[in-house]
Amino acid sequence: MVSARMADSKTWKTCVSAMVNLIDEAAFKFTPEGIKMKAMDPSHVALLDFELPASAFEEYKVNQPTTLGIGLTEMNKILARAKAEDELTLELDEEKNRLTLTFRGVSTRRLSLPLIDVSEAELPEPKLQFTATVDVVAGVIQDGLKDAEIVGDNVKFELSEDGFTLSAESDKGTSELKLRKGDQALLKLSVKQPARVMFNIKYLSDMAKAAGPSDIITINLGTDLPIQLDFQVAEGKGRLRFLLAPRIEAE
Amino acid sequence: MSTNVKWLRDIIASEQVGELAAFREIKVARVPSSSLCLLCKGGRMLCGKLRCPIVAKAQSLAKSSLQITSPRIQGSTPPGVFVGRIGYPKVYIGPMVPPYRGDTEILDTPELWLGKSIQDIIDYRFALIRGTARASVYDAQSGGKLIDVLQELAMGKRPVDAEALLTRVPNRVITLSGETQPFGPSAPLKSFKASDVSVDRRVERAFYDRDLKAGDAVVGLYEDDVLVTRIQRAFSLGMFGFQKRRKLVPTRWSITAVDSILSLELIDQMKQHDTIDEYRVYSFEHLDNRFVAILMPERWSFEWIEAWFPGTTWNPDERTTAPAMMGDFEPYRGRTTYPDVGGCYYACRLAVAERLNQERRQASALVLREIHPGYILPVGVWNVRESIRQMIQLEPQKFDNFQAALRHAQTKLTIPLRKWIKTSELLKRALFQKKITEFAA
Repeated sequence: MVSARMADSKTWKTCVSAMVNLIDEAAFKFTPEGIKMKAMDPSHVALLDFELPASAFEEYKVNQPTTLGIGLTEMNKILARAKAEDELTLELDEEKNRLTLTFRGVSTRRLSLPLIDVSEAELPEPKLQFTATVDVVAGVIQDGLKDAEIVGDNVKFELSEDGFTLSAESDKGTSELKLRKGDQALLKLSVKQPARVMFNIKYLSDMAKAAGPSDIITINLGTDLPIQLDFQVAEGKGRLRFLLAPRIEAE
Repeated sequence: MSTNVKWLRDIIASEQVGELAAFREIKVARVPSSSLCLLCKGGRMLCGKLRCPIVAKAQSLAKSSLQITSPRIQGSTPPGVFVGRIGYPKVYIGPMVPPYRGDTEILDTPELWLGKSIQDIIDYRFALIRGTARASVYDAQSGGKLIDVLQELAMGKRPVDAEALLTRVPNRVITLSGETQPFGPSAPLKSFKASDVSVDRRVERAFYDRDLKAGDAVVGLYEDDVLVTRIQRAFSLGMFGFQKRRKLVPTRWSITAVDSILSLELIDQMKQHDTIDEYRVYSFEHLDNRFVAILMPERWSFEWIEAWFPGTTWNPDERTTAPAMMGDFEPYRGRTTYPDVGGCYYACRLAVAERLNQERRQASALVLREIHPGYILPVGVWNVRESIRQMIQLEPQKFDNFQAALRHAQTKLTIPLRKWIKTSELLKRALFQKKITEFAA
């Protein structure tokens, strides 16, 4: 049996709406310990790693590990019907091979969607030696990305002992966002070796949707390495992690 | 803006002039640079084209117009109909009838035009005399005497004898906007008669199904092997969709709408299939257009780039030396805005998606088009659709790495790769965007 109840719908809504920008379908693994999901986007540029432990739920009943293949576009549509404060229950209807979502608020509403076969391709497990890490307020990153989007398709991340820079440059102009050590929005900075690396803005802004403006994002960087973005889910009990491969322009 | 040019005698071969005594005056609407063309009069090739488009059009106009001395046009319509876009939602509509009988299907069937010369195509288009009448696009629902006949014609599967009575002998306006494909002479329609139309049952079924969505009708007919041209023809007369939502659609818009609807459906199906196993390069030349497609073994994405050489319609300024390049791109998830390059984007996307689906494969497709000066007139987006369809049926060159594929593609192109890379999002991605898999231990 699979049944998981959350005090509100907001957490699940936000996570799914960030996932749906990168992947079409997902295999959620429900185990007695919690829910896990890992997937790569169609072009293998981004990897998504999601974990939500049983403790994040009001009630969590999973007897044996069960993998549920879900069309994210469909689930996202259903979740759009939920109010943020509605209590949410996810339940497997084994007989009909469906996942039922129950929203309990003013009324009790129930929507279900068919489960699908999701091929569980073997996913890479990159071992990355990051050299710099920083905790930043999400709203600041979201702003910086929006600035950069005006200028071009790619954005450069730079981390050094002095702080953090996000910049873009093209024929259309330049954009720059700077956070210095000590700035309020820059919470934790640890740099073994400065890092400079470029990424596609579109992917980053899709990922950044996983955070509310005041949430904290943990960024890990290394020159010419993928970027790792960690978002806290359910007050830090769970985690949504993105890896995005860099753009390296040879001369 | 229109300019009167009284120099046709100067630009048509002297042996023809005698026959053309009637044509002292030809109206030229919207010449790209009228002063340049006036100075040149089609004789000095100041615009840099190998043949003067005005001459080509004028000659062809002359050929078919010679047979037209009366406002009564009797002939076999291919069947052909048109819906204009000027004045939308009040537009000009009408039948297209050539001044002769016989198997005229080719005149309005671009699927049959590949391999024909620009002159041939101009001849086809100019043989079709248009009788024009005003209509509201909403008349598609209520019908009416003319609309009913035109809708019947649009369902026809072979040429139909018809008679268009015009209010006067058709005028000799040459529309030179460059965007429009050649269109024949026209005059207001007084009355129109057509003999019995032998209708295509497949189209007829969709027409009478007033609960079938237009998009589903289009896809259904395509799957039943109805020619894209025929689907577009019926689509433009507002013959598909829910009864209350039917509208006439200007011919030009309907071409792109159908290309877009069909390719979306095909892309959807294609995404179920595995990716191709190698890099492929296709190439093809048609009417001094050079097409090159590079297919990459990746999930679906698509890019179409055009390069107009100096002296071609869209790059008329002979002072420039660089081709004008423009392109649009869509990632796996598709796009939500209309591409800057226009309808040819969808025409090409349809041809590519169609082929990959037949093969039950998907790929990332980059299609490049170099337009050289021999392409004296844009003849319509069908040129792109049919050229790409033809090209991608040919055996491609296959490569196991991207660099080799690029090197081969370069041999088929005049413009250096670095310029294509600068314009192309897909090339940039392929060359510069790393993948997560490259970092796995």
